[in-house]
This record gives sequence, structure tokens and C-alpha cells, in this order.
Amino acid sequence: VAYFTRRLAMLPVVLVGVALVVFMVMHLVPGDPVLVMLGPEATQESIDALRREFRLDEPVWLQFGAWLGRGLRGDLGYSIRLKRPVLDEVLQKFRATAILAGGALSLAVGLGVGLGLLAAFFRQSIFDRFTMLGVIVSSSLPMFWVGILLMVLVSMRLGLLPAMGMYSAAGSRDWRDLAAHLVLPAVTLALPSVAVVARLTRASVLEMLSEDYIRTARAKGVTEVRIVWHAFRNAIIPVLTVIGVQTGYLLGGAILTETVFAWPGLGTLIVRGVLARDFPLVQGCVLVVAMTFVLVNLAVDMLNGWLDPRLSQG
Amino acid sequence: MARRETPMSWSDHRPPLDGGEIMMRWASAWPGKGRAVRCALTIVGLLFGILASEASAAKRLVVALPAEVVILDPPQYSDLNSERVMSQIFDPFIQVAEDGFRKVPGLVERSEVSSDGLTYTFRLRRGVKFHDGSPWTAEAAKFNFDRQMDKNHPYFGTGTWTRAASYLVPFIDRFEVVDELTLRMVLKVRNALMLDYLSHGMARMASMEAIKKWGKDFPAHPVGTGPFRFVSWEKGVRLVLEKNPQYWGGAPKLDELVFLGISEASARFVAVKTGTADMTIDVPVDELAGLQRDPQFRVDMIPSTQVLFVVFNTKTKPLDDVRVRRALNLAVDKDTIVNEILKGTGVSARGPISPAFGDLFDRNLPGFPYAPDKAKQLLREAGWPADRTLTFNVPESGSGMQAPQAIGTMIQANLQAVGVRTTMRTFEWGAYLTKFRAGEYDLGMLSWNLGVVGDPIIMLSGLLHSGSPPPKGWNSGGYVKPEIDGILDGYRNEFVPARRSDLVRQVQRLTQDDPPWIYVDHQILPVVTSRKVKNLRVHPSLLFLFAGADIEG
Repeated sequence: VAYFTRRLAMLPVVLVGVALVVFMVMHLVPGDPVLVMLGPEATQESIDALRREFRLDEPVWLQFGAWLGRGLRGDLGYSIRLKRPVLDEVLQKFRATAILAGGALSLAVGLGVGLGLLAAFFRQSIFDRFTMLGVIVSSSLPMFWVGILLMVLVSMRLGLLPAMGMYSAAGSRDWRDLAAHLVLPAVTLALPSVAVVARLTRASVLEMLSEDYIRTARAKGVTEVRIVWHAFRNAIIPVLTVIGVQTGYLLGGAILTETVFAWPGLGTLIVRGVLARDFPLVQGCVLVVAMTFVLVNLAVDMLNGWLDPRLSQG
Repeated sequence: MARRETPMSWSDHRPPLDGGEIMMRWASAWPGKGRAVRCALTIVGLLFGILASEASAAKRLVVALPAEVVILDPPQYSDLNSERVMSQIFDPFIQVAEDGFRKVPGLVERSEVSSDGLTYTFRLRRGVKFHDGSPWTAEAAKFNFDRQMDKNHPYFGTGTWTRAASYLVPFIDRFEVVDELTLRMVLKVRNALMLDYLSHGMARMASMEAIKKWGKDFPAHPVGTGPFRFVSWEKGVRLVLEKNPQYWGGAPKLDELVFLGISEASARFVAVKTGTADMTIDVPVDELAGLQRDPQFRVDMIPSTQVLFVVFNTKTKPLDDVRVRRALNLAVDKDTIVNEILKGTGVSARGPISPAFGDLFDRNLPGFPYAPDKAKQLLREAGWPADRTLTFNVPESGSGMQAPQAIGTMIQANLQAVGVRTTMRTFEWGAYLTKFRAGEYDLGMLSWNLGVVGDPIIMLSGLLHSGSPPPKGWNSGGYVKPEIDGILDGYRNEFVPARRSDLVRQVQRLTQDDPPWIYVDHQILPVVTSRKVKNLRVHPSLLFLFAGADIEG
């Protein structure tokens, strides 16, 4: 418990660190949010006016200090490009990203663990070989390409699922509509993770199967299905850790998938924010993503500690 | 039954793709199941289709825009897609014609200028109401301008008025309400282009009552006098407008407009192909030929006032020589760029002014037709130094940019062919603009919409006047041409439109003799619509005119 309290206490430190890095990077990159926004029509008067409004004429450290001070009170500032409070915008878009990443994560875990387990059970069979080959191939395909391929095949040729967006342009916004829209982007996003999880599950289970306690169980005449299940419970710990890491990957990969499928999540928001040099918006987004990543990994560690008490003693 | 219902709800993106059709597709996905099953599925589908069409009597048009709307307050926007939606909700103070930049009666029916050019009197249209029922009056108009210009106005802080600083504050002294429907504008300095400024998107008129009611939250509750009323905006999902039956220009035929923001060009293509959207723009150029052949779609090519060009840094050595600048213009094969790279989504540029400007465009301008041999000869005459390598800055993407890297590569090859070596450096748009303004280039690619405020001279002043280097303007190439300066300076005092057109033609002649840029192309915007959409027009400013559009059920 003390271990987790310590971990939790580190959270604000990590977040301030992340914020500082993002802040520095955004300010080191050449480019001026005001120039990008006003573009060709910009006159010096309008550039100056906008710069003053967003306090971009002040020294960088002062800007960071002001941002941090407001941030501690739960105010992430105003987006330069959207002219709306960053917090509202980020939370709204985070919901969409969380749904997408969550869908992809369930697919990655369900399919990955399932396939890995089956492959371990039928090791060295045709099924095993094909699954592992398929897994390698699917993880090597670029996400952009897979996304568009699925879109063309499933939506355009077969007309089975909606091609893009989170809800239909017209009509109700119920969960079935959402689920139908979720399938393609979630599959696209999950494919590489499915591969990682499946391969790891298989390897981990096979490793356990060569342990002494399994030999003992075999000697006792336990059925193969129960033996694999037995090994699985011990094999799942490294898999869980990887799933924690994969969450970070899924949140990152969501940026690309969201662009392809016009999914209204954080990804599109971050990309547009970076292009427009919208400092407050990018910081807000990254902060939320970093927080999620840290919390998910904390949860995974807690789960592992519960499964294997030896881990949390250290 | 459960399984059969699912595809129905999945595909309820739109009524026109009716249930029967979907069931047919669903059925053909199982070719092995036999005719009986397919028949049964079709019948069920048709039943659903009837139910679905029952529910969808409303005429709804779904538009896929290349980006989500940013803001719905006229003086605050800075992106075209926001204006595409705002132009449905709000009318401009001064209306322009549907096919060009001529001024026509709109919210203002008549305007008169005093002989000294300093006082304008506007007669407003009678009987116009904002969507909230409040009347369109001189007081409402004054309120719209005052909240942008007057720092002491109680509603000054309800937004960021970047445009007012450039277009209103420098010229306008004050507005006066003469009577309910008469507004007077008093200028500080004469400006023949004042009405152009007042036709710009920032001068769209909002309801005074609504601004007073919502203050800073007005952009979330936009109220204007336009053909469509705001209904809802679920960020990232859809923005919905409904028809304004009391529109002064006649009630629109469409009941509802839905806007989606889809940033990937290939995704927009899929959106119209699958029927998610009835209309979109800027699909991948390679898909255009297929769409043009497809009987379900209509592709309109809309000429724009955009110009894509490569700026010469005339402050660096051989580029200060006019012969070199002419030679480089002759060396670039614009027709190949337009036909092979842009696949017809552009027209070769002869000068800065696009043919989309109509009368202002000089039809007799020769331009610089591709002539590499002539270019080589000119370079020899100018004594081109063989060891000179030019840095050629190109943005990765950016506002108004069409395939900048592909075009840049082509230009590089063209220049190489006449013996001019270049190093191409690509930058992300934000970084690019900073480099451009700092003048850190020999050749720098840009794309400008010269028609943003209607009259091209307003934009050209910032680009070509010798007194407009950054930070004041965008002439970072240091182009100096006293004759052009003279025209740009005198233009604001020229009140006779025909004489202004003459001056614009003179600018085109002067920039032909002494080119400040390599002229590349004027963008042509492909607008893809379903055949069911009727009578949809697109203005040369690339705004959509939905007021007269219709859709067949």
C-alpha cells in the first residue's frame, strides 16, 4: 500500500515535468501561432493585438508560470485557435479517444490473449503457424493503409459498416450507432497490439509449460486443457505489463486512426493544435494523455501486485 | 431478426440510401445462401425502406467540409470553413453578386457616397428580422461595427477583433444612426475600397439582442438574418442548421443543412461514395476522373481567386536581374504541373490575377509560356554564374497550398534543365511562415487568395509594395517597383470603378515586364455533389450558396 501511495504521490511531479517539456518543445519549434492563424491577411496591428491578448509577448518563463498557476486551479487556459476554454475541449474530445482506445484495447486483449492461448495449446500445429504468421503480417502493415483498405472494402464495396465519424450525420445518437462506427477504427488501431499480445501470451504460456510444477501436474494426469489454464494464470503477469505499455501505444496510434476515420478525438485536436502552434491546447491534450498513461500503468502494477504478491514487496 | 435489424441501424446515416438497397447489398454478401434467402431479405429490406422513407420527408443536405468549423462569430473567424457555415447564418453588410464581386442590394439596399468621399449613407432593407425575431435596424448595424472598433463599447470584450485593427479602425471615424433604417458612416481618410471591406466575412451582421443576451458565449448561439438558422453543434460530430422560412431573399428549399468536418481527402471521397455526405470538396485528385464518369455524382470545377507562386528574393545577387526572373518564369512548365500533378484542379497562371476575377483579369496578358530555350538564352545574356545554387523553400502543406512538394520538385527539375541548380528545403507550415517573413530564402513558394476582400489590390499591397516588408506586410523578397507603388498608393482614391479596373490591368502589365514571382497556377476547386442535389452554386470566393439549392428525395 505504501508503495502505491508513493507512486500516486509522484503523479503531480510527472505531470509538471511533462508540461514543462511540452512547453519548451512548443516554444523551441519555429513558428508563431498568430502568423499561422492570421496568415495572408495579417497586418502588424492585428498581429500585435492578438499577441497581447494571448500574452505571447511576455517572456517564456513568465508564460509558463502563469499557465502553471492557473493549471493548479483547474484552469488550462484558452485555446488560441478555437477561442474556447481548453479544459472543456480536451475533456470532450478525450471521451471519444477513450472510447476508441478502450474498444481497441478490449480487442487487443480479447483477441490477443485468446489467439495466444489457442496457439500455445495447439503449439506447432498448422493453426499455430498460421496464427503467428497472420499476427506478424498484420502488425507490419501501416495503420494508414489498413484503415483505408478496411474503409474501401467493408464500407464502400460491401456497405456493411459506416466508413467514418463517431455518429451518423442524421438520426439518433444511441449506442448501436456508436458501436457500428467504432468497429473499423478499433480494428485498425488494435491490429498491431493484437499481434504483440498474442505472441507474448503464447511465448509466456509455453515458457510456463516447461516449469517443474507443470511436469508434476502432467505426472498426476491432469488434462491438457487444465494444464494450459494453470500455466496461463502465471503467464499472464508479463502480458498484463505489456498491455499497460500498449495503452500508451493505443493512445498514440489513435492520432493516426482518428485522422483516417474522422473520429472526433484528441488526436485530430493535437495535430491541428501543433500545426497552429496553439500552445495552451497542445499542453492540455498532452497533459490528459500523460495522466491517463500514468494511471493505467499504475492500475496494471496494482493488478500484477494482487496476482503476484512478491512484486509489491520490492 | 436481430441480425437483420443491425445493418439497418448501421446504415441509417441518411434516408436516401434506403433500406431495400442496403438489404440487397447485405444479401449479396452471402452469395451461397440461395435465391429464397436473398428474396426474403430483399422483401424485409423493402419494408424497412418504406418505413425509413416515411420518417425522412425532410430535405436534408449533408456536407463534408475539409475541416471542422472553428468559430461562429463573424468578426472572429480566420478560416474558410467557418465562413462556409457562417455565410448561411449571417448576411454581410454589403452583399456581392452570386457569380462575382459586384455589389448588389442585400441588407443594405442602397449606398451613397458624399462628393469628398468621406461620408457614406446606407439605406437598409425594410422588414428584415434576425432569427430571434429582433428587427434589422441602423442601430443593430452600428452595434455590430462599434463592438469591434470602440474599446469603450460595453460588448468590446466579447471576442478578439483582429480584422477590425486592419480594416475598420484605420479608416472609419464613426457610425451614426440617422433614422431607423438609415445609417451614416464617416471616414477618417478617403477609401474607394470601403464597400469591399464591408462585404468581407467579418462584416456579417449579428443580432444585437443575441449578443447582449449571450455576451462571450454568443459564438455558441449564433443569430443572424441568413437563409439558415443555427440548431446545434456537437463538436467533432456534426453542425446542424435549419431553414429560415422568413428569409428576406425567399425561403430556402432545403429543410436542414448538416456539416461534418473530415480532414483526410480520401476519407471525404469515401464519405460521398458511401452516401455519408451528399457533397464535399477537395477529394484526392486521382479520384476525380472516376467520379466524373460515375453517373451518381456531379463534379463542378470552380475557378478560384487563389494564386500559387514562387517569390524571388530580389535582395540576393543574380535574382535582382529582371532577365533572370523572366528566364526562371519561362523555364517552368506550368501546363504539365496543372495537368499531371494537379489533374486539372488548377489553371496555369499568367500573372497574379486569376481569371476568376472576371473583368479585372487582363485577357491579353501573354504570361510566360514554357520556353526553356529562351530561358537559357536569357540566362546566358544575364551571365548566370554556373556555381550558384539557389535555396528553394517549400512548405509541406498550408493554407491554400495544393501539393506544394510535388510542384516544388517539378519546378526544381525544370530549373535544373536550364542550368539553374536549387536546394529544396521543406518546412512545416508554421515554421515555413516564420522563415518566409525573415526572408531566409532565394526562392520561396506561397499561395495567396487575392480575393479575400473582393478587390485584389488590397492583398497585393501587402505583397508587392516596397513599403510592405515584414513586419508591416509580406514583401520579404524586397521587390521594388516605383510604378506599382504609385498605383497601389493612388488606388484607394480612385472612385471610378472602370478606372480602377484599368489600374489593376496596369499592375498585371508591370508584373509581366518585371516579375516579382514565378507564376504557377490558380486553384480550381473540385466540388463533388450527389446527382440528387440540384441548383447548388459556388461563389468564386469558394463559399457555397445553399439558399437556392434543393435535394430530390
